[in-house]
Amino acid sequence: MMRDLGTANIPAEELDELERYARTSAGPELRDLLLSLSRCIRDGATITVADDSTALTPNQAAERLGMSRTHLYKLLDRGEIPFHRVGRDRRIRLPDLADFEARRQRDRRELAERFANQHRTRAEAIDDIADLL
Amino acid sequence: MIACVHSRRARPTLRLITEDLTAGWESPHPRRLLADGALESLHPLSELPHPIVTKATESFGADPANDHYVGAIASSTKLPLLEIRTAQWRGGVWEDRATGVCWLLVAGLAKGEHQDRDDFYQRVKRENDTGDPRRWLPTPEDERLLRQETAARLLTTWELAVQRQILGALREVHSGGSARIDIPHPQPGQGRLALLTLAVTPVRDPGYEADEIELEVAAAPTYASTSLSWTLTVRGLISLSPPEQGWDRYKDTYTNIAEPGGWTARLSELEKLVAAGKLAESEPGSHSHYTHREHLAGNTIEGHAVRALCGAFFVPTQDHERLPVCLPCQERLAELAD
Repeated sequence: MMRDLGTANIPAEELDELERYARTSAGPELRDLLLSLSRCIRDGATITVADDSTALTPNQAAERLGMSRTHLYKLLDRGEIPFHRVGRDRRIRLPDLADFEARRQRDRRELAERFANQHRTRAEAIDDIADLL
Repeated sequence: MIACVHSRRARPTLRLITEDLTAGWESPHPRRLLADGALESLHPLSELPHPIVTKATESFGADPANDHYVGAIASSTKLPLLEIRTAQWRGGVWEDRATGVCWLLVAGLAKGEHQDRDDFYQRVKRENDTGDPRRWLPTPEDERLLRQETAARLLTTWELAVQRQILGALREVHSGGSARIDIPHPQPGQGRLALLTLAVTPVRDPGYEADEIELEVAAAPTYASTSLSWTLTVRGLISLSPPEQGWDRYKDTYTNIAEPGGWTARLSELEKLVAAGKLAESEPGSHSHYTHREHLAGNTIEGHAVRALCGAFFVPTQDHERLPVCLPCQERLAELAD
């Protein structure tokens, strides 16, 4: 079972309201769940509800990740995404795919920041070289 | 070792710029920068627009065999100074034997047939006889600026070399294959900084044809995640493809997709840049993206990246609203509105 839930039309004020509720009235576990949910929504993420045993074919996984099958197979071969076999075919558990996607998003975010701050990074590199002279 | 890293050509000290060169500037900017304490913006100090600085640089360049000066200043017995002249300006240059660097230590105008108290020669003699000319020697701050300037030059030279190495690898693999690039530390003698692997895979599936490129950056353990290895990564990526948002990343592997033949096309652009000795420049997003408005103000100030509806990450800037809207973002927004 797997279902995608859209989030982009939720007004920011309602998210404020949700976070206020989470902080003031919810118990610790629900509080953490609601706050991380709200953070994902603010980030523009699509939320997928699935049971842990949901498994995808390489084709489906590549489509969800927005990459070619060739590239996905490389990642599978390198052990970056766990998979199991059904006969000769490979299957990827959805939670493993979500883990990979979360790490990839974090890495891409850092790259965007490194591009934006490249002049500062370069100035720091100059300081590091100057320290050796 | 250190002696050959720094440029030998004559450079002024901060004391000289502040105290001795109170007039004669060809531009008001340097003294303004100095007053603001923006010392790094003065680089390179040897090129400051003042006639006596220009004269010093011309007189003491890379090769000591080409030095030309009037002679030693006889009255300066405590500090060996070589005299240079241009119009009314006079200067004393001292060569630091430890580093090989020449410094313009003292300068002034020749005045009143050398009888004037402010006359350059009078000042040098007075300092020698009743003061201490060693106070004119480069201070730790002067030495720091020299190291900064040398480091900046080493880094630029190295970035050009990296771009050339990337070009060499791309020549091998632009239509498919993989190549390794050994990247040394910018400072000679410091060993390897990183090993790069560049691979192009032509994908010809029904409905999807593309040439996928992959750059893997394996930094030597000492340099992992340092500013230097990030400078290398950014330089490598920009050499291959300047648009920032085209790059995908997972761990230390960076991937991008071009139409079939796209990397062959990039090869000839990169050839031109390398031949001209120019570094490729990165292109921030050429489109504006849709994202959560509430996030924008804060992220513009802090320099953090946000995710757009299309999935691209970008650091919002004030001027993004002038750009055309990203098409995938527009489509996603329309889908969601239905």
